[in-house]
Amino acid sequence: MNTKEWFRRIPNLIPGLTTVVVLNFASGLLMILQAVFLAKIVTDVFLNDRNRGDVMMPIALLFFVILLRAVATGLSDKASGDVSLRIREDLRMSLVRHLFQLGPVYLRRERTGELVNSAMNGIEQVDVYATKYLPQMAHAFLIPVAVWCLVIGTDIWSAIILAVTAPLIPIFMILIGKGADSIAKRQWRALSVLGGHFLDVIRGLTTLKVFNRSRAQVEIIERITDTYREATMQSLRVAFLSALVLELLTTLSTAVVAVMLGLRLLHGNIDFHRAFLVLLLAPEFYLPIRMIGTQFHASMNGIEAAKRIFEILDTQPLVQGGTRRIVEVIQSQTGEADDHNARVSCFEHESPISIEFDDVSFAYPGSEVNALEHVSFCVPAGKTVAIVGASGAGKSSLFDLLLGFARPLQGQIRINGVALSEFELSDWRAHVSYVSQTTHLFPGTILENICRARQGASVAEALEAARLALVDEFVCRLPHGYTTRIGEDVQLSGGQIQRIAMARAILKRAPVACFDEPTSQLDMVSEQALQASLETALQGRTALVAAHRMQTVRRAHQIVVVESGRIVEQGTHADLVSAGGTYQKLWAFYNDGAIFDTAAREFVPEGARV
Amino acid sequence: MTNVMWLLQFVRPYRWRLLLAAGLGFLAILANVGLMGTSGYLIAAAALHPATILLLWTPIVGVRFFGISRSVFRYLERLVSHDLTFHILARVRVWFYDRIEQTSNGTRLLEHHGSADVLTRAVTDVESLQNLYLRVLAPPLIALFVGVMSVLWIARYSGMTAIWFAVFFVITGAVVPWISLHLGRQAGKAQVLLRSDFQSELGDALRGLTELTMDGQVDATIRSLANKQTDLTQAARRGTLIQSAGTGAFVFFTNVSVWAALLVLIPLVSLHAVKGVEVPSLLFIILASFEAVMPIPASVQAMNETLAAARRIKELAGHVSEEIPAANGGMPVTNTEVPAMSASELEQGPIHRLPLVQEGDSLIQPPVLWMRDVQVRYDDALPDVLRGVTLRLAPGERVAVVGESGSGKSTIFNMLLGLCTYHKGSVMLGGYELRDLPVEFVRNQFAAVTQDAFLFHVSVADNLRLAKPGASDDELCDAAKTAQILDLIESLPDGFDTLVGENGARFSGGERQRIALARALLRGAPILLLDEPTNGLDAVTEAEFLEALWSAVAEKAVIYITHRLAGLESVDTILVLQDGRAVEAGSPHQLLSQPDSLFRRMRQMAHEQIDNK
Repeated sequence: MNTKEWFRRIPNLIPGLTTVVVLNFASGLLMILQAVFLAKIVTDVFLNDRNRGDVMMPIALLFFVILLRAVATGLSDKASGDVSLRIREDLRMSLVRHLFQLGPVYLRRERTGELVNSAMNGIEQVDVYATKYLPQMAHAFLIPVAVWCLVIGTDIWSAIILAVTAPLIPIFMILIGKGADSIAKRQWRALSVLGGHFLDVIRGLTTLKVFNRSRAQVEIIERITDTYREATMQSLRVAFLSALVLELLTTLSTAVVAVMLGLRLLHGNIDFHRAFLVLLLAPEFYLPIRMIGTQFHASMNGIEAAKRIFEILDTQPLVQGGTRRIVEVIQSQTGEADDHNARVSCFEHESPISIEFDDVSFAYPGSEVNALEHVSFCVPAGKTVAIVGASGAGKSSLFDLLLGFARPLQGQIRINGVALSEFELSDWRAHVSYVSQTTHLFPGTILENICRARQGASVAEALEAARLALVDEFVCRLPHGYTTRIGEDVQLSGGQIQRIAMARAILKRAPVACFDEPTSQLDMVSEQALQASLETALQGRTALVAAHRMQTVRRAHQIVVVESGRIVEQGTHADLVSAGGTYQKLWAFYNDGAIFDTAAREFVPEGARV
Repeated sequence: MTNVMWLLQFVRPYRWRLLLAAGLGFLAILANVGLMGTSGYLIAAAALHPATILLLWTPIVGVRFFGISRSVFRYLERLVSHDLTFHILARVRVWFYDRIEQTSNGTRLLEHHGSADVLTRAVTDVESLQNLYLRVLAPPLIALFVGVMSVLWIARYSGMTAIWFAVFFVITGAVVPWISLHLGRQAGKAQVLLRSDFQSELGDALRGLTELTMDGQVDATIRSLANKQTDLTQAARRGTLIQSAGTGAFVFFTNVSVWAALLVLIPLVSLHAVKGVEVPSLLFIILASFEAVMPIPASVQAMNETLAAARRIKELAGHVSEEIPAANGGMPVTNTEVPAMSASELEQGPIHRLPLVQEGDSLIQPPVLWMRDVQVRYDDALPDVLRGVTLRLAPGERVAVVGESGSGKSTIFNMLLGLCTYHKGSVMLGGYELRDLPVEFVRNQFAAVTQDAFLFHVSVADNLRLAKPGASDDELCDAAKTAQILDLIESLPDGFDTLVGENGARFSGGERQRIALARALLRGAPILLLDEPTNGLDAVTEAEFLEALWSAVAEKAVIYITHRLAGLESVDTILVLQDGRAVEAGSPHQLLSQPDSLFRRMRQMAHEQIDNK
């Protein structure tokens, strides 16, 4: 990744860095000036036998220069800090916005922890590269040039030594850079393998205990760390050699300059003042170049982090919404002129929305296999369609498409005859209530979490929805009832979370209901109890319900059976049970009629024994 | 302070290595001080045009020696200190693991409270302690050595100059960093809070993006995050101000020390108390000594972070160690208060006395388990989870434990494996009281499959061998075949050597459970213990798994814990739990033929549901 890329990605980086570089250079010039004064004072005192009174003026000036230099250094540090804060804020917020735009489908494929880490630590590492390493590059060019200009005016021989050794440094730098690169990578890999193993062991501690292997791990952890230590140390021994050579080069150059100055002083070829000045400046000549090495190491992580961040920013969102609104379409179809009435009829009365999947094929980005192939079915307004199939058959993909989280590769989804892609996505989603397999609850009280489903919902409405979804049952046992804080006061079980999700769906009262395995985490008794409220939630709604529990499916107007992304059967319960296909097999398993003993059989009522 | 002492225990065993590393670091800086000092002396002496070059011979050799030795010392220091870092890391890891391994409740703590994030952070904290030497201890230690050395050297020429040098050295090395730390602490605290606030809100938003999107809350969340970020930037701005003031102060005091030395030295030279020829050398020594102070501000910062990490780890580990270990791990002794079982007491099978335990791997032949009126609670302050459960398991018998979530089913699992203990009643394992047996021995009697079994990120074979370290390839194949997973494993590119991915990500839920079943079967333990092994599997996969299960365990005694009522036709006895009590027990047929049995009602409910129109 080159520097241009950085400047393109991070707006206002150039002016910010220019300030840093200018201030830094000013501090460098003051450093040179300080050396000049120091050399003059020392020469006057040492060789010309001046006393304090005679050199008072240069001493005062020297103090002033030191003060200025300190201020310039401080300011440049501050400027670089400000640039880094700006980068953090700008880059982090654009990353966050972009992640939100990429949507749930993208996030599901990534590990959230890693994304959050990129947005937090990653961005903090990126700015080390931008605000420390990049200015240091400029610094490492400007200061040595300025120092050299003064040295050549002072002593040509020393200037030649500096000029000869200086180009060697970048050469070794590159060698070290390569070496450091591989050291860093090797060390990073070693550490991450070690870290990964350690995390794995801790996570699987119960499993280890169950198999009586947990004590043995102490020794294994020790041994693995030792093995990696030895291997890494072996490579470090070689890798550090290049740093050794660089260090040797710069200190020896200073030594050579000093010895040459001494010998030439001895023969009277140079005066002390100039020799002292050159000796003061020689280490300063090498220092900024050597500092690159230090900064380079610190910025290595930044480069890796930036690659990842830019990769995320380059990912295109799956879906771009349109501009049409649901109310407009319904108005044009029903002839209802009043906006409000159309909305009310939508939410309060029977849903006027119908859904049609027309020859839809779909594959998740990066996947070779189609998640859905040529899927066609209709959900008439106010009716329920159940989706049945094994996990991975493509049920959830249907929801992703219908909610506008992804776009079909082929075919179309139509809402009341209008392509879904023409609708404004947030407007469409406002008309859909969705219960997913894993509902996320946000920090806050249980009541707050329910209320989020509909803005402006009253507490009474929320409590009523909660009652219907049997949230009451466990909330009454909690220390603070509905104001119990989730995650802090109490950890909810999967079944309890699903009941809250159901309450949210009931509260939203949206005309379209998308329920993806809404009762999968519930035990039998709760599931049965929730059945009634599920009915309520589906009453008069246009609903798509996925389930692997047959009891939820039974009452749907239409059942669609999917297998490997294709619809294999479609029809009513009665049709499918008599068809003898996949559905019938599933039904038999859950029914147990065929496999359970005779005592059970008498409890299987008529309908199930078809 | 206690945290500092606590941290030092990790380096104590390596104190000689540490001193060596610090010594080398000290010598590397000293070499530079020497280089500049002798160079200054060299040119000053040369400027006086001595009669012979021989007088310059010593400084010239000195310059060369220091020029070379610096790099060598630096190189050696790097090697020793990196080696030390790895040693410290190993020690911290082993300590941490040891701590949480020793208490079974610690495991629970990590599993339940510790979501993956908390765990990951704990592990990151543990890793961060590896910088203890390199970033925290070394800089002040080396600076101290260098400071003392330089003061002593300068004092040989001028006591006053040495005092001034010491003053400025302490100011730059201790006072300025301390003041910036102090000033920055408030801002730093606010920053850490705001940052973690932002981080958790972002994490929550990303995990709940589906809900946010559906609730139309995305824009509001972005606004809230942007506000938080603005606050964070504001807090950080104060931090950078303090930091840059510190940098300025550092530059100022370093150079002013040379200036002050000049001020002191000039009159001394005039008075011939100090020779003029020594002045350049002293000035260079002063300048070069400050190299030792340069890494101190970063080290103070690192110390702060390391102490915070140490505090968090200690807290977590302390939490763990306060809880009582579950099993005492003592030698098996027959409990005289609980009468030993006689053959007549157990109708279904003969009792064999437990052989004296020689090694952890010996097995009970045949297995017998008898729980009588067992009561369990996780904490004395909490109500009992199990409130009197009785269960008998004869050799080859299959017992299903059913009940709703929260009825105490998993507690039976935890208790049998010594992950928690019972305070009343008795659990006899082959004639011995369970809690008196060494926990390793107890665990060897069980092969367990848990809900959502954990697979380690190693090869399939290594995951299976966890159950039986020396298992041959044939044994692996047999176990996999019985668990009906052999075909799948053999179809993988590397067969049994295929890596399973992080937490078994390469496999589907059903496949993972079947690998776990194969692992349990490989163990060869007399009792198979299954805790909701089909949780989270869909109907088809569940059916396939159960089919594989019942055909695999033909001869074994099985305890099958589940809340699903499907697939129970193959068990001998069903135990129904309700609120921690065993309310019913009997064969499936018996339970179903009692008109008002809870089990029958539960099944009936399931069917009514299906047919309720």
